[in-house]
Amino acid sequence: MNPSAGPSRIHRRHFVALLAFVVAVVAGIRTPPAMAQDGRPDSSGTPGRAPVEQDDIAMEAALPAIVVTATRAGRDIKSLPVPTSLIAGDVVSRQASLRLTDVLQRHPGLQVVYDHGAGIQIQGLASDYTLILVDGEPLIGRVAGTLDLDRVSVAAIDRIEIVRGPSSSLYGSEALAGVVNVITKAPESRWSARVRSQYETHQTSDVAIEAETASEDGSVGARVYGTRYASAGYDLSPLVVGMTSPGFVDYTGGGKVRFGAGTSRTRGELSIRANVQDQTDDVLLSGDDSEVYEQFGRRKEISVAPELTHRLTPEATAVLSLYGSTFDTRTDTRSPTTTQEAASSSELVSRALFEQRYAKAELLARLIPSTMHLVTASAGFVHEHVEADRIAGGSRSSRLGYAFVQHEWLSGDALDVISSVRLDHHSEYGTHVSPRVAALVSPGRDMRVRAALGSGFKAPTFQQLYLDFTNPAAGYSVFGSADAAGAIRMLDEAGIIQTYLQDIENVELAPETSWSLNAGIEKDLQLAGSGRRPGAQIGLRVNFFRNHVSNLIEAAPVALKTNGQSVFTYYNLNKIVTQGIEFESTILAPGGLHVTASYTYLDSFDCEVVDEIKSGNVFRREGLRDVRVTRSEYGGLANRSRHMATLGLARTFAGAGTTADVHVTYRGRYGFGDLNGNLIVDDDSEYVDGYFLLDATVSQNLGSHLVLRGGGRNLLDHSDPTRIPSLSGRRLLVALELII
Amino acid sequence: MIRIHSLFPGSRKAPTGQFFLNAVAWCIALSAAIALTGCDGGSGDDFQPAPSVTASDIAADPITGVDSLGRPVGANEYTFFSLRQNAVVPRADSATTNWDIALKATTILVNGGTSGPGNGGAQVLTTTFEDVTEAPETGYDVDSASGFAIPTGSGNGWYNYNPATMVVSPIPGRIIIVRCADGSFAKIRIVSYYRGAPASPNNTSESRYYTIEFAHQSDGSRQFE
Repeated sequence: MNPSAGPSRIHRRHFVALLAFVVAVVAGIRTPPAMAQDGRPDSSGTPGRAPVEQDDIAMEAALPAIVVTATRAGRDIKSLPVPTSLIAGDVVSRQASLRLTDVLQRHPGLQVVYDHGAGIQIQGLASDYTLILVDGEPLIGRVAGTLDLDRVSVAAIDRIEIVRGPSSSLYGSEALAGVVNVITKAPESRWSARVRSQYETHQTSDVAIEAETASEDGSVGARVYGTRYASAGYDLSPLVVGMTSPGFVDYTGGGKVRFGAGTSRTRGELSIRANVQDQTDDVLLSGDDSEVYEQFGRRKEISVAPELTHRLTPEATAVLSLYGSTFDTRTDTRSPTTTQEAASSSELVSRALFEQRYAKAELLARLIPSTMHLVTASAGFVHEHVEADRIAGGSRSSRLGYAFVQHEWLSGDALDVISSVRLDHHSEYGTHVSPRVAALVSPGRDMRVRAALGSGFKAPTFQQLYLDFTNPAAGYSVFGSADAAGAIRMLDEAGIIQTYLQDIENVELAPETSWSLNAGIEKDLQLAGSGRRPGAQIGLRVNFFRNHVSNLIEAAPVALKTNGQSVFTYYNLNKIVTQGIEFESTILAPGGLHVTASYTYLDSFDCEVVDEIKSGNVFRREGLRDVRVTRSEYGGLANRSRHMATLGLARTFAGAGTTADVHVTYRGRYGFGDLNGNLIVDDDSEYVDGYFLLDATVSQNLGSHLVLRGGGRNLLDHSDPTRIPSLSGRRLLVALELII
Repeated sequence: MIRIHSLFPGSRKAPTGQFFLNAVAWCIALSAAIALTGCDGGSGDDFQPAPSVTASDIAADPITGVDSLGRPVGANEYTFFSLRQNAVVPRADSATTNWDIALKATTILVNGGTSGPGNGGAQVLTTTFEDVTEAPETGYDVDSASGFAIPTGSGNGWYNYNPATMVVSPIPGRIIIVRCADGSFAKIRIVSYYRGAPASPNNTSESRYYTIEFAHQSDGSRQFE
């Protein structure tokens, strides 16, 4: 008996049911007469701006999509040598997404993974290897490497751009697996406003207000937005103290002011963003099971980004940008209060503070020496500061100076080559150089071949450099590499060190570095139509990738204490490889049907583990015996699915003012961690079975200013409380949107 | 907060790909042993393969409560065990050569060096229990002020500690070769650290109970088979 036959049969049945449902939804709603007659959107007689654009799904593909992330300047996504994808703001709205997590989770080839928050895994690389930008500037405040995507509201976004492969040659640290750039809307219309109110399961609510105004010629404008996002949270394991996901109240506000847009030589923009979240939960303190304490957490972030652009000559433009960002968290633990006592009398047991400051100044120049060449050069300076209880000395600062240059060579239609190189010089880890070269060949108008080779890096984190932590319960210590030698010498003088396992001098941490290759083909097909009705447009894309990451920073024992526990510090140790193929297909059928389908195959492994397995040094228990693990039994890096797939169907019925959106995400079987003591994923018990997530929304225009939206996420109600606590089961939603 | 991935300690190479052959050899040796003992022994060739035995649930300072910092505490006492006798030795004999290993939580002492008056020593091999047909001639460490012969700490010696599940797992393929107090040799495989040796222990399993499989060669040679 194959033990996996049961679950996989259930999945197959789910999948068949799912397909039937999807077909029913899309085919079942009859095409309105207005559309059926001439096959073109009915654009007559709508006063003002219709809430759902007429046949907006078709519009998405028809307009050339301009993206800025891959080259730091606007370029048509189709002509870019670097693999880039785009999520339009309209898609985000019609899918009723509230946070960046919801949006990226559905995107082909991306995987949301949870570790101290929701992060994004691109091409099998962990979430700390992807740079997250808002309007081109980096978000700060990673916790254990994860920049929580739930922090980012998508209420006022114009689009999201995703660049795959290393972009450190433009952005420096963290842009190793890719870059996600969330671009907020700019003021464009004379006057418009939008109010949206959404309610979901778990008493989740979101209220968003946006307003913008701009001068007649669009040269001066301002835009503001604000959201209140709150939830009662959920508890999948009621026997455990504390919620699986505690309730919270979250406010995000921001705005943009613009002047000089259009034809003037000088233009400026100021962007501001702020986010505050409060969260309360119950906790048990270690060693004290009798009393439940109350934990209050507050997170606060503020970003300000002024930018000034001046056109010196028609061929030369200079951009001066400043960026400041703060990220603070406070965690208060209070003793339990009895009903007689007032809440204020509860005693503060502990308070943990974390503060991060980031300041950047950058000067960038764009030069067009001839029609075939485009040069971008830039230099900048970053100052970072961190304050935390577990940081040696309480607070530390670092400085970074950088410069990059990029050359774009456009030899007519057939060949396009972009090369760039960036130099980073950091006060702690020294100098690092990141090159990238990417080429696009177009053998015909409907076919594009791309290849990109580049190197990325991730700087050591504050924790890896400056941590000073001793676990009071277990008794082990961890020191950041910058202070390890001094800290261990002090322990030795105090007689706490029993023996050294490594030389403590010359512990110097280098950035984690990568070499990556992306190569792919993109093909457009136009099917023949029948009569006056045009045929479907089909886009096919396949991309091969291979990423080599070396110098992975890991904690390893450096000395043994007299209590038998280890002292750890950070070393550059392992090498990992991720490789695979991404397939993506989009079909734009007449009548407003848009289909996207994707499949990603991923293989990943740790080179050291593979070497150890080949040497016969890795074992597992089989019954009462130890047996050697073979290469084929090694499941690769934890938390990576070998197979991933998405299927999205959207259909607009312009005459009826209806849009339906159905989305299926498949996450294949993946290892979650070691259970049998050999530290690798190899045993069946160490895997999570694959599962499907089905999301669906229907939007209905009510007149020209109102949209009613309903639907749900995870409609198959998949849950796994112990292994996937982030999945709360089926969530239904209803939303009303007013557009003026 | 801190993710710790231990390394594979050392780079001791084990003979590769011979598992099956060795298993066959072991089976032959075992049946020979059974045959020999069944025949009431032959006095001519007096080599006796070391029989493999299992000792279950040896208490190693079981947890009695927690201290003010929440750390689990026991009576802070070692349990002394004789591999030669396959029996727990009374604490009163701790200063004698009657015991070979002493267990307290994840720490294992040998009867030698700073730990006892015997000739004890140990080393940890990366191989399988069956593959060790002979104890190495050299390479034994002795308990000393700078560390124990059987290294302590997760990933350093015989176990890995998983901070996510809070479970101590014996590392598969780690065989402890012990030189006993009298200089004779034994090989040990730690089967479980939890009472009753559950197949999938969790953080509610009762810890600090060793189940070990071992073979002691009483004729004083290094040859187990």
